Amino acid sequence: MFVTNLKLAIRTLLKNRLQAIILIGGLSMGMATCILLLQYISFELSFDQFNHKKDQIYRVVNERFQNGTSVQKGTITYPTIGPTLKADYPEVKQYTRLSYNPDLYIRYDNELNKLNNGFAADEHFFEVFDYPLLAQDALQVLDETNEMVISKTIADQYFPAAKGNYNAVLGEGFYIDDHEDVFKVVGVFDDIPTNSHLQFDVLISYASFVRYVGAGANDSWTWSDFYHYLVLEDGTDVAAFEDKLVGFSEQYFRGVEVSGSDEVFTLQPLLAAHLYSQDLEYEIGETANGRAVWMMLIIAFFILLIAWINYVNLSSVKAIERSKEVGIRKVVGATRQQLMRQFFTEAAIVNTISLVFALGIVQLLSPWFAQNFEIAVEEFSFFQGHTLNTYLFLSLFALIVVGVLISGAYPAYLLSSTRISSVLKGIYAKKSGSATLRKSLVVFQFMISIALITATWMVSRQISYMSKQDLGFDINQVISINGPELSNFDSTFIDRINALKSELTKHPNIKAMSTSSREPGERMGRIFQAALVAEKSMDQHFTSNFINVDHSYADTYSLIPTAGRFFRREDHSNDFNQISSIVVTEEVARKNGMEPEEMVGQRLTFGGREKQWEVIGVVPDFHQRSLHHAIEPIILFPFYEPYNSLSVKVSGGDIGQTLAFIEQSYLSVFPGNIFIYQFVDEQFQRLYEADARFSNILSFFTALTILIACLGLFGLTSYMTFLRTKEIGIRKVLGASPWSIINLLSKDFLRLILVAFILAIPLAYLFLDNWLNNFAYKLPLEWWMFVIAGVAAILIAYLTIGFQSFRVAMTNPANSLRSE
Amino acid sequence: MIKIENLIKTYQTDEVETTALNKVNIDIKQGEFVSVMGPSGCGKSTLMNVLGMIDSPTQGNYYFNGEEIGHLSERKRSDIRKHNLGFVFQSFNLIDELTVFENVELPMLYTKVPSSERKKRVEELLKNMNIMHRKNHFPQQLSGGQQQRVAVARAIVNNPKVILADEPTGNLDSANGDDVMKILSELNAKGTTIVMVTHSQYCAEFGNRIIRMLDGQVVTENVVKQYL
Repeated sequence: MFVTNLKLAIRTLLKNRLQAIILIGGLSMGMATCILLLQYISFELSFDQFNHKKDQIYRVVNERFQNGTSVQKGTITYPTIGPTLKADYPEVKQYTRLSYNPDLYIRYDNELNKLNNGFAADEHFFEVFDYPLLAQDALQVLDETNEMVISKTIADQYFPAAKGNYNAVLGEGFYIDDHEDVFKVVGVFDDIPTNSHLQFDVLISYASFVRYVGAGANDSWTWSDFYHYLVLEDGTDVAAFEDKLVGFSEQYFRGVEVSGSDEVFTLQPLLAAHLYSQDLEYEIGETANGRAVWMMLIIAFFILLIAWINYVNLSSVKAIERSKEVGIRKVVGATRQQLMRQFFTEAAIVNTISLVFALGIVQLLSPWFAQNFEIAVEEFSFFQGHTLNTYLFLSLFALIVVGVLISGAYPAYLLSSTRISSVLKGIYAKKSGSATLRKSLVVFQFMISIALITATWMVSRQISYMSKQDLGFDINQVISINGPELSNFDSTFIDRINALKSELTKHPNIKAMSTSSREPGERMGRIFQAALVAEKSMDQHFTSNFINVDHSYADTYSLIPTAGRFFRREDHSNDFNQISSIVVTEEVARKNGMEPEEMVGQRLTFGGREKQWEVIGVVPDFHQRSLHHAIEPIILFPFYEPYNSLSVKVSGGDIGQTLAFIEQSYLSVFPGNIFIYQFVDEQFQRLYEADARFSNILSFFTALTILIACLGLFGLTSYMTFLRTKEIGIRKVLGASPWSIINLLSKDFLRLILVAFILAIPLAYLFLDNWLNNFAYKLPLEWWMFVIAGVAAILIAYLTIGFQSFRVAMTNPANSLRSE
Repeated sequence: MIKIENLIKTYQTDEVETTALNKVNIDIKQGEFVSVMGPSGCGKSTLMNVLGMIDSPTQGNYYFNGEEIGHLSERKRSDIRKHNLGFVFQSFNLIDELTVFENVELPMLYTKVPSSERKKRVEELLKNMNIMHRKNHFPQQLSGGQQQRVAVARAIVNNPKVILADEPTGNLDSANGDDVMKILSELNAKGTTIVMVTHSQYCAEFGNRIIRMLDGQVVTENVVKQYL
C-alpha cells in the first residue's frame, strides 16, 4: 500500500510540474532559512552552557540612584562587594572578581603586542568557571602577585618550541604594560569557546592588579569599576536573596552617604548575560540582542508557514481535480483513513524532497550567510568529529513532522471527505469552506509580507537617518591612534605631545591633532557628585560624563564654544593643583537651569572634595555615543595622560603617505610604543553595526517571504485561471476586452491583498514602535509610510497575478472553447 | 441477493427537493444479469449508487444477502462493498497516475491480498482480457476499448458477487462494445450477478431481464430469457 501511495505521489508531482516547482522551491527556501536560523539561534542560546555551575552562577548588577533617578545601571561595582557578600551570606558559596583591561601590552623577548581582551582575575576564577587548564603549576593559580595564565593560542604563538607541551611553558615570564617586574606564567588554558560571553587571551592575577593600582582595588567602597560573578549554594531562592541585598546596601552604603548614590544590587543569571544585557552599561562580555534573536526565530517560522500555506492552498485548489481519483479509490474500497494516509504520504514526500534541497542550499549558503550577516553558522554540520549531530537530526525530523502535519492535514481532510456519488457522473463538488480557508491563508501570507516590507523599509530609513544626523562635532577625516601608553607621564610628556603636534601639523594634509581620554563613540567615565559651589548643598549634585582632552580638541573636532572659550595651552599643567579650568556642554548648563552665558564663570566641585573648578566655556552638545542614546551632559577636563588616544584631522591627499608620516613622527617622539590607527567615522559607524546587520537580515527575509508568497499566488492564479478557461472564452466571444478579463481575474485576489494590507498596518506599527524604542533619536512613524509599503506589495502581487491573467486574456477564445 | 423495498431517494439542493427514486421495489436473484433502461434523469444512476452502497437511501430498505445495509455507516458499507461489489463505469474511471497493472491491483490492496497472490491474479486477468502486453502503460496510452477492459479487470479482481456496470459501452465503438458485453456475459455465465445501466437495447438484451424506469419509478420489467 505504502509503495503504491509513494508511486502515486511521485507521479502526481511529476504530472503537475509547475505546482511541484512552486511547492518544493518555496518549501526548500523556507526550510533552508529556518535551518540556518535555527543553527544561529541555537548557537546564541548555547552561550555559557558549558559551565557545570551554569545555573548557580550570577553576575552582580549595580544600579545607582540619585534623587530617585537612575544614573547608572551596569555590571561594574565596588571591589568589596564579592568578598563582603561571601562573608555575610551563607547563600554565596564562592565569588570571583575581575577588572577589565582593554589595552593590555605584553612583551616577550622584545616582541611587543597589544591585546584587547585581558582581565585581572582572582584565584577563584577557575573555581567558578569551567575553562579547562591544560597546564598549571599549582592547584590554585592566580593567588600571588605577578602571576598570569595564558591561552593555548598565545602559548603556541610565543613558545612554538614547546610543541603543545604546555607544562614546558609554565615558569616563562612576560612583561606587561610598562611594569618593570616580570609576570610568571602559572597556567595555560584551552582557547575560550566562541560561545562564552567572556572572551580573553590572558588573565593576570588580581593581586598584581592591586599591587599596581593601589589597595583601593581591593577594599574601596567608592571606586566602582569591578565585575563580580557569584556562585550561589544549590537551591538558593534567588529572589529572596536579592531582597536581602537591600539590607546589605543599607548596611554598607548608608543611603547616599558612602558613594554619593543609592546603591541597588541585583543578580543576573550567567545564562542571561549574553542575550539579556542590552540595558546594562559597562559590558565586558560578548552580547547579542535576545529579543532580535527570538524575533528572527518567529520570522523564520513565518517564512516556513507561508511556504506550507502554499502547499495547503495549491492542494486544496487541486482537490477539485483530484476528487475523481479519490472517488474511484473509495469505490474500489479505500477507507477514509487509507486516503488520508495517502495525502499525508504526499505531504511527507514534498516536505522530504524540500528538506533535501534545503540542506543543499544551507551547505551552499552557509559561508555567504555567515559572512554577510556576521552570524555564526559554522556549527552546522551532520557530524561533530565522528559523532552524529543528533540535535540537528532531531530538529530536522521535527521540521518534517510539523511540516507534514501542517501541510498535509487540510488537503487530507478535504480530499478524503469528497462525496463519491458524484464521481460516477463526473461532477466534482466545489466546497465553499475550502475557498474561505484559502482566501484567509492568502490574506495571512500577504499580511506578513506587507508588515515585513513596511518594517524593512522603516528600519533601513532609521539607520540611514542616524548615520546622516549631525553629531554636533565633525568626526570625518579624523584618524585615531592609540596613546603612547608605554611611555611614562613625566615632566616632559606634555612637551613631547606638543612637539608631536607641531611636527604633524607641518604636514600639508594634517590640519590638527589632539589627545583625549575617549574617542568618539566610546562610552565615557562618570562623575556622580558634581555640584555647583553656588548651591552650597550636596543634595543638589548631578551626574555627568567626562572626557579628558587637550586644547586642540575643539579644532580637531570642529567644536565652536557657544559661550566663553575653549582650553588654551596655559590651562594645562604637569601639576594637578595648577589645573582648575573645565569646559562643559550645553546640557550641563541646562541641567543646572542656566543659559550657556550664565554657566561661564560658575565653580563646581566633584565627589564632595574641596577643590573648585571654574567653567571657562560652554560648547554645543555633541553625540559622543550613538544615537541610541540621548544627549548626555559632558564635562571636559584639560588633562594629558599616556593612554589618551591621539586624534589627527587630515584633509584629503594621499592618505597612505600621510599615515606613514604620522607613524614615523609618532614613533620618533614615543619610541617603544606600537602604532595602531583607525578612522574615527568608521569606528563610529560600527556602533550601528548590529542595527545594520538586523536590517540586512530583515531585508533578506522579507525578499524571501515575498518571493514565496508570490510563488504561491502565482500557482493559485494559474490554476484558478485554468478552471475559468471556458468562462473566459465565452466572455471573449461575447465581446470582453483583454483588459476587462485581466480585471476580472485579478480583482478577487487584489481584494484579498487589500484586506491583508489593512491587517498588516497594526502589526507593522507594533513591531516598529517597539524597535524604535531602542533609539533616542528616531524617525516618526507616518501614515504615508505604511501606504507606500502597501502599494508596493499590491504592485508586486498585481504583477504576479497580471502575468497569468494577461496570458489568458490574450488567448484565442476558440482554443479554450474547443478544449471544452 | 439484492432486494430493495419502497426505496425513496431525494436530493436537497438549495430550495428545491428532487425525488430521484420514488418507492422503488426490485428483487435481484443471485446469478441474474439485469439491465436497467430509461431516459436521462429517470433515476438509473441514483439506483446504481444506492445498489453500489455509494449513496444511502432516504427511505426504504436495502437488503444485501438478506442483511439490511441501507442505513449502515460509511465504514461498514465500504467494507461490504470492497468484498462483494465490482464497478464498471462509462468513463472507465481509471487512475491516470497508475499503470494498467497498478490500477487492476488497487482493490486488492484494500482487501489486503498478499503481494504474490496479487501479482498472480492481475496477470491472469490481463491475459484473459488480452492486454497483458500493456500492463506497464498508463491509461492515457490505451484505446477506449482497452481502458474499459482494464476497468472490467479491476472490477472483478476481488471476485465480487455482484458487478454494477453504468453504461459500460457508452464511450466505445460497437466492436469494443461487443467485446465488453461478451466479457460481462461470460462472467455472468460463471455465476456473477450483474446489474447494468444502458441506453442501448442491443446491450440490454444480453441480460436476463430488463427493468425500465421513468421519473424515479420502475415502470416495466421484462424477462428476456430465463437465467440458468
